[in-house]
Parts: sequence; structure tokens; C-alpha cells
Amino acid sequence: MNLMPWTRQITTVFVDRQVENFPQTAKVLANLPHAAIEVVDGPQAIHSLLKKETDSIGAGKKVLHLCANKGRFVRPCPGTSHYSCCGYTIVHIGAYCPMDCAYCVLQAYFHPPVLSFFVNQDELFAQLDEFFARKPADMRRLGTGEFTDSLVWDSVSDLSARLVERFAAQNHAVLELKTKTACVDGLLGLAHNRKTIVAFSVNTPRVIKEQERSTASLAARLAAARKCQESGYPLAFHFDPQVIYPGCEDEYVKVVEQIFKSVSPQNTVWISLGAFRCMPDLLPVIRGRFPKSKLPYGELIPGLDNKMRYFKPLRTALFEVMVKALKDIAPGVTAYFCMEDEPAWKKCFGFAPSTQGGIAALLDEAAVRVCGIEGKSGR
Amino acid sequence: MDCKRINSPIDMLDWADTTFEITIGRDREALGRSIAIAGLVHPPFVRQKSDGSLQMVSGFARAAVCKEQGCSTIPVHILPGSMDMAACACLAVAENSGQRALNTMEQARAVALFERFIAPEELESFLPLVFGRPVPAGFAKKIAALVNLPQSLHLPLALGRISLPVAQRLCRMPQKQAQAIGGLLAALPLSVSKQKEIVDHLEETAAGEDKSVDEILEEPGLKEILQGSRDDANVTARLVRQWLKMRRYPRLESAMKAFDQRLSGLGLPPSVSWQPPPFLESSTHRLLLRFESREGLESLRDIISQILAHPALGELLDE
Repeated sequence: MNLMPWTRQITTVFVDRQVENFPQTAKVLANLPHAAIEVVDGPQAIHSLLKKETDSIGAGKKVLHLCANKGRFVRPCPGTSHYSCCGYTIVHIGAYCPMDCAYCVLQAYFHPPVLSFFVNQDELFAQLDEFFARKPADMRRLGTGEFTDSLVWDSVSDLSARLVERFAAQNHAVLELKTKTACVDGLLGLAHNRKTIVAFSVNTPRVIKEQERSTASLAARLAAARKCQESGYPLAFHFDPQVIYPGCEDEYVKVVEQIFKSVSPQNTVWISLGAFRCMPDLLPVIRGRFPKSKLPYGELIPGLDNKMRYFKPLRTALFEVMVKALKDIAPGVTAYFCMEDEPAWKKCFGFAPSTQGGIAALLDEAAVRVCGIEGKSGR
Repeated sequence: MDCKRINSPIDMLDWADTTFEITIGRDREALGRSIAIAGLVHPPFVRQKSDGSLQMVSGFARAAVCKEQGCSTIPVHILPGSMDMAACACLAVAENSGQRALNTMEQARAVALFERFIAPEELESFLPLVFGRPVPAGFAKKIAALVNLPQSLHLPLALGRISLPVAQRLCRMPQKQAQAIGGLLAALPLSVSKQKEIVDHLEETAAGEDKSVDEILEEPGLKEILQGSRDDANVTARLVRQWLKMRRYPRLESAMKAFDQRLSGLGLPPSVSWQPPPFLESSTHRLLLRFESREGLESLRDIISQILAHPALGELLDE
């Protein structure tokens, strides 16, 4: 396998003693021959080491902790209070990300954050088997991109491929692999049965350049999306977080145009829109690690969930432009807000999701339509 | 301590040598009155330097008052030549802290003096002399750093016009910027939280626009407020805060202002207060009704009907 740039920056792989002899451990280690290997009894030793670093958050991106997930692999997304959520289900494959985005909440979410990858994957697949047998009606959309980028370990592990193939063998739910990379080659030859959505986080070239270190360019992401489409995968795009700056509206509309010059609206399952928001603790982290970033200096106010958000009229003004562009350019594509309230929906989309069964129902319907999972009657 | 008391010509004191000076921000007038009436009861401690001049270890203020009062000689205690600098530093601090609690700037000077003459591993045991209680060395180090602030800010800090947390932030800034912000804060009557708010808004506005804080402070709108002649400094402080808030959050502040204007158009009586959602983020408004009797409550029914019929209601509710 060709190593991705971020895997080359891994200096040490810490292996939990209890997973030392797991087959996935051997596989990952074989693909990281340049890294030192250290066996540890739990994460404390790694934390102590990282806390000595001036930039412990950055240092956590250069070590990899192979360990077992002791909690649930498949679990509901906690969402947020007071705002409308989409009823997503997380497939927890690991934590943190070797790419370095200024706005990344994971910087302040773990103390200190460490790249970790779970190798007790037999348990993951056992939980998935149980899930597919049960077919819970409220869990139709699952994704690995909540606590990490879905594809960052594809050059050292076959987990994505195994997940794609496992989802291909059922008709109840879809798997969303969400990424800021263009590393899709490992997916292209797989028998996916359209039950895997390859989703790209997108942003304006300016935001990518200024706020997203080590990620793929917009052009590279869209080229990767096109390759996935050519391989028959359904696609999704996430404009999240949208950053407000002078002239951003035109630049975001251009991104919408570029997306649908590259791929087909009919093959796009959904597009999410979410403005930059974060827990207050993240702002000093951004100031410290990204001194040139203007993110902390936007007109941010404490939201109803105590996260910092752009002042609402600023968010909705951008959203209105985006929704109009999407309606003009890709009218059939399901678009939705990530963590906005019903008044914002009404203002921008002209309806409140609760009147249409909620966001989850909208997205489930899109998955039925584009990915061919069983419809409501099949639940 | 075997000191020799002499009456020295006052010009023998080395006024430029402030190595041991601790006192700042004290009332010289009261001291002057006391010396004028009773003379110098407690003479300064001094060290004899190799050139024969006298280095003051304590009593800087007393000596200065004597000079101001035209004394040609001054009684002093000459410390024994065997006394090392660390012991002199302890004496200098004890002479001040033994009489009163030191203000922040005096604490800073005292710790900085100890840092200069006392071994780092011994420093913590000397800190109670400064603070009146044991304190962690890290805390003392932060206090000592205040001596590096621009000289013009030492007195406002000693007088409590600049709060300690804000002063510590000023310490981390370039001198010019610290001087500019500190100067502004010292001139306005502000609580600690309002001082922090001003520094936040200045720094964030500057950082967000790739400008220096000095450039923001030089903007005509702010200069106009600061140069305006007002009897009440509290009004100036309020105007400065409003200006900075508008500068930092222009859309939010404009919207809040517009909301207030529309609200005042409703002409609500004092018994009714309308609270918009914080930062206009949610759509839940609150109406607080005050009444004392059935009749009073009855009259509020009419007021609510008037609000419902008012043309500005739709705008207030963002309909």
C-alpha cells in the first residue's frame, strides 16, 4: 500500500498490551515500518508523554495508539440540545485525526487528544451483525466520520473495505464514509451495492487553505468524488463548518457549482449545511495553534446549547444564499442543516422539519431513493 | 544588627539607585505632615558604597519628603559592611511589609528584589515576608513580572486602577501596546470584568482585522469619546465600552440597537418589561408584568391588546 502523507509523520505506535496479538494490530504495524513500536498498559503513559510537549495537540497527531474500544462501536450521535438533529448513528472506529483543521472540535474534546485506532474489529462486526439482524427503525444512517476522518487509515488497514462489503450485504441501512482526503482508491473496486455513501467535507478554497492543514484541495476532493461516482458509489457533501468572511457567499456558491460540474445531482444523497460552531474552550486553542486564523474573531455568540456560534442573522443570510444556489443548481438533492433550529429552517427552506417527520425522515427518504435501502414499509 | 546612626548630608544619598525601593502609591502628604511635626522618627537604613555615597535600603519616601522639606542633613542607620545583599533585600521588604500590607506593585518589586539576590531554591521560604502568608513560587513569579510593565503603569497598578488579572495580560503584550491599553484603563473607572471586556474587544478587533491595538485606539470615534469633556468619568467609560462593543460585534450590536428602538416604539409602561432572547438566538421572548391589584392586572390586559395590535410587533418577533 502507498502510505498517505500523515501516516509517514507517525513516529511511534503505542500498542495496548491487550491487543498486542490481534491480527489487525499486526496488519497496521506491518504498514508503518518506519515507526517505533512501544507496548503500553493503557493510554496514561501516552498522555504523560504528550503533556510534556509545548503543542500537545499537535504532538498527538504524530503518535498512534492501537487499542480496543471498550464501549459500544455502534451508538447514537449525541447531537446537541435545543437545535434540530438528524438522528445519526456513529460507528466508532477510532479517535482524532492526523490532518489539522483550525476549527476541529477534537482538539478540545480529548485531553490530550491522541490518534487512536480500534483493532478489536471482530467485536465491531459482531455488533453490526446484531444491528442488521435487529433492523432498528431509527438507525438507518451510520457513519465512521464523527470522531475521526473515515479514510485516514485506509493505507494501513482494510477496515473501510470490510465495512463497505458488510454494508453491501444488507438493505436496511447505509454507511457514510466522511472525509477531507482524496484517498478513495482503496474503495474503487469494492462490491458496495450502493450501501456506502462516500461523503466529502467541502469548503471554499480560501477556508481550505487557511484553516485546513494537510487536507486535500477542493479540486482533489471533487476529482475523488467523481472517481467514486464512476465506481457507482452514491455521494454526499458536507458544507460544515461554513466560515463567514467578506465575499464568502459568492465563494460558497462557486463551490456548489463546482461540485455539480463534477458529479451528478441524481447521485448525491444529501448535502448538509452547518455554520462554524464550537465549545468555548476551543477558541483559545485556535488562537494558540492557528495564530493567523480569523475564526475566533467572527461575531460569535453563545448559542442555546452553550456552543459559540455566529450571530443568527449572519448564519441565516449565508444559508439563504446556499439554499437558493442548491435549489437552482441541484433541485432534487436533499439539503439539511446540521444543528439549526426550526425558525432557521422555516426562514431558509420554507418549512420546519417537524412538519415532514423530522430531519431523520428526510434523510432516510433520500437514502431510500438514492441508495435503494428498504423503504418505510421495510422497517 | 550592629548599625551606626549618623546625621548625613542629604546629598550623600544616591537618589538614582532604586535597587531596594519598594514603596509606590502611598500618601506622601500624611508622611510630610508627620515629619514636619515630629521630625524623622525612624531613619532610613543605608549602605555605604565604595565611593562614599549612601545606597538607600529603606526609607525612600521618608528621605524624599525630607528633601522636599528642604532638609540639608538626614539621620540614617548605616548597615554593617558585612551584611550581604540578600539580607539587605529582606530588610527592605520587612521595613515595608512590617508596617502595612503591600499593594500589588510593591509586592512585585519585593519579589523581583528577592529573585535578584536570593537563591531560587530558597525563594519560596522568603515569600511570606512579602505576602503575609506562604504562596506558591509560580504565583510570586507572575507577580514579579509586573515590574517589567511600562513605568507609566506602575502607579495605576499600585493604586488598583488596573486589576491584577488584566495587568498580567498586559505583561504578555509588547510594551507599546501594554502602555496604550493600560493608559486607557487607568483613566477610566472600571470593574475587573469591564477591564477584561475592554482588553478582549481591543485585542480581538485588532486580530480580526490584522491591525494593531494602537491603530484601533487611534480611531477617530474612540478618540472623540476620550477627548470629550465630561464631568462624569463613568459616562466616558460607558461610551468607550459601547464603542468597542460595536466595533467588535457590529452586526449584533446594530441588531440589538434596532430591536431596542422598535421596542421603545411600543411605548410600554414601566409595569411591563420585554426581554428579548439573549443575543436574539432563540425565538422565545419574555414579558414581565408587574401589578399590585386586580385592577392593575386588568389594565395590563389592555396593554397586551395594544402590543398585539401594534404594527412593530411583527418586526420584533422577526415574522
